[in-house]
Amino acid sequence: MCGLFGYYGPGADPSRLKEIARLAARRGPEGLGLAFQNKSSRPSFWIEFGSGATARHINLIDRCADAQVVIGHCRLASSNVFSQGLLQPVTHGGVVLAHNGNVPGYREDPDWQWGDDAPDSRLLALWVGEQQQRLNVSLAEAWAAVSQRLNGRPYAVLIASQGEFLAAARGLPLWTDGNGYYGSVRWADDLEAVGH
Amino acid sequence: MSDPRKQRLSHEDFLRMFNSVEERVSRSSFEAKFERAVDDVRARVRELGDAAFCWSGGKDAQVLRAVCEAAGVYDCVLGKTAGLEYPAFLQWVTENMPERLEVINTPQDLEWLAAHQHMLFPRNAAIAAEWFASVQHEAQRQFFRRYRLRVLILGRRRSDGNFVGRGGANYYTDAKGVTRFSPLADWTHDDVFAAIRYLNLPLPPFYEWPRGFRCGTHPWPARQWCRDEAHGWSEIYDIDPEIVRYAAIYFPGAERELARRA
Repeated sequence: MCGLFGYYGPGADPSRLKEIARLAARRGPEGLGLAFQNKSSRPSFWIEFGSGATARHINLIDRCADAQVVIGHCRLASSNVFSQGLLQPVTHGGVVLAHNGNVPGYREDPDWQWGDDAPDSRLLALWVGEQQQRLNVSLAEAWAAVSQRLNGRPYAVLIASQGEFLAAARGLPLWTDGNGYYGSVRWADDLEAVGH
Repeated sequence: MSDPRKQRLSHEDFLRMFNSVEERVSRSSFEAKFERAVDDVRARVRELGDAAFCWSGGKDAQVLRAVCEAAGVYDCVLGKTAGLEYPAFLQWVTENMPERLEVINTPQDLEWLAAHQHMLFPRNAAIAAEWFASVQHEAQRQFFRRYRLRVLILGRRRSDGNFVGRGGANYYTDAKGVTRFSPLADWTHDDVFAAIRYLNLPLPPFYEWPRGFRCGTHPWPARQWCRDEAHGWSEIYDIDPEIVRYAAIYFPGAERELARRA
């Protein structure tokens, strides 16, 4: 929770991403997280976290120059706890995921295994990975199944897994410019809303 | 007939009003009132310039949001403490915040509260006002200056006992140069409830909690009109026992409440 930004394409422009992230940071002032993949990291991701005031960490995005995949997250701390372990994006197996929303009843879920120092969104990354591995389906199909488990709650997500990228939203804002950039807050007039 | 002040009504009074509002306010009269408020916002923004609204997530703020968005004002601000909010409220905010909301943290957390114990469960208006000044007003001031706004739009109403301006006006500029405009100033409690019903606006969990309609939105230590500290901890435990466990590190009263419930 609560501001997302990202990129999927031939090479990210950090100045454009920072513009989008500054707007997303208005919704999530309590920490910035960033996962990006470039030629030197592929197929892995570089992960950066900055806890505390999000705006102070925006320059971490400079490291994303020419990245092909960027998943960024600005946190609103819904638990009054500010440990770095609660920042996103979350990873599980090969899944990298940033999420705006809540996972209902996550603490009682039999798959929950992380105690207090992890965001509820870790369950989503776990479930997406399980779906992909068990059923050998695309990321979009895996997310379609996982999103059912949110019981109609609103969400916005950016996910990368096994070379695929997915942006999806239901009831929460997520926008794209059609050139690979994504953000929770409109940064231009000619954007399209991301659906589920 | 004038609207009874919020302070004279109980949670149950409000609940009865809310549940029966359609018997007293027709859809057409609500729509006329809503349109007048939208027109008022449009006119004030034309006159004064760059505007944003203040959003607490509460019932009046949800109505204000609907009015402002209908008038084309989308930028808004939420002032909150860094560590003294109800987690259930913040989870609700996550799912219901306006897209262009800016969340501004003020520095109060549990350590701060331990050093300012007189602020716990305010039992007089001066302490309650201190909470509003140090959280909401402080965030509003920062936001107003950061974006060089000309006017902040608030959900204040006379029926809630709020100050909205002098001599019948619904706007004023304070000593620090912040202009505040209250388009809902003359709305009754029924008008607000009608808006929530007819526009199907979601409400945060406060209103399902003990004395919810009386207390409204607030950081948990700013919970008003508790009989004494023990009553405050008892209500907080009923709402979210985790808060009491977390506070027991600093507050013997919280520890006593945990022992009582064990």
